[in-house]
Amino acid sequence: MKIQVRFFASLREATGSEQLEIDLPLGSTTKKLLAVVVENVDESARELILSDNVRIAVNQELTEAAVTLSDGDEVALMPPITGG
Amino acid sequence: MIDIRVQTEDFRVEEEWQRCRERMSGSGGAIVAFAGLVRDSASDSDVTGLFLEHYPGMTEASIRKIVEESMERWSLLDVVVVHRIGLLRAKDQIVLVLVGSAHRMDAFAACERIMDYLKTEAVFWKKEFRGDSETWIRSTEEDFRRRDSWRD
Repeated sequence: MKIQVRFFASLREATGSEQLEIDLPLGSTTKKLLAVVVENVDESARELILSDNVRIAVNQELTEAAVTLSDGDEVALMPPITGG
Repeated sequence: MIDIRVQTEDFRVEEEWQRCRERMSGSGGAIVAFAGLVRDSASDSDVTGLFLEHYPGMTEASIRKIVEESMERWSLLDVVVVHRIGLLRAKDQIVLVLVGSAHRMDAFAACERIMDYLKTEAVFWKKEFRGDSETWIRSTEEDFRRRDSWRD
């Protein structure tokens, strides 16, 4: 299944891209997705992506625990928001 | 009515105000307005600009949630939030909040709460430019303290 991964702010800069398409086996979770994402980015971006304060949104809903993904899901990796 | 817009373009307070006033028809007795501007001297250092990034869809939803919570708490007739994104310079307008209600007390309180929540809960990322350096900034302790002051 294909998952669209979006990066914002410092993560977008560190990865050098706004979006990445990741192919995962059916039934994969956000935890598995993160493991694959870090293999596809520069080393300098890995630490940022795996840091505790990165929030994950699946289809624009924030999630805390590992979530099972579906084909076509959009997963956003978000550094701490600043507010308006 | 709730009118939320996230845009790169500047806004005209007078136009937004007139639309808010007309939508309330005869039942509106008050409009409270707040406009946020880019300061050029945050934290004792010269800020030359600000870059605001958002997540289309999720950002608007986060603002809507803040406004709807305020509409449940107070009797409001019309709320407008216009928030700018992209590169802004010192003295530029960043955000406009208009709150229309039958009575001023509700409009004052709701406008302040909406701003306090926008500063911590709205999905934006802000980068400050100072001279040659640029930094992604975080909400401050004071921002969180003000937000929490509205909690029961």
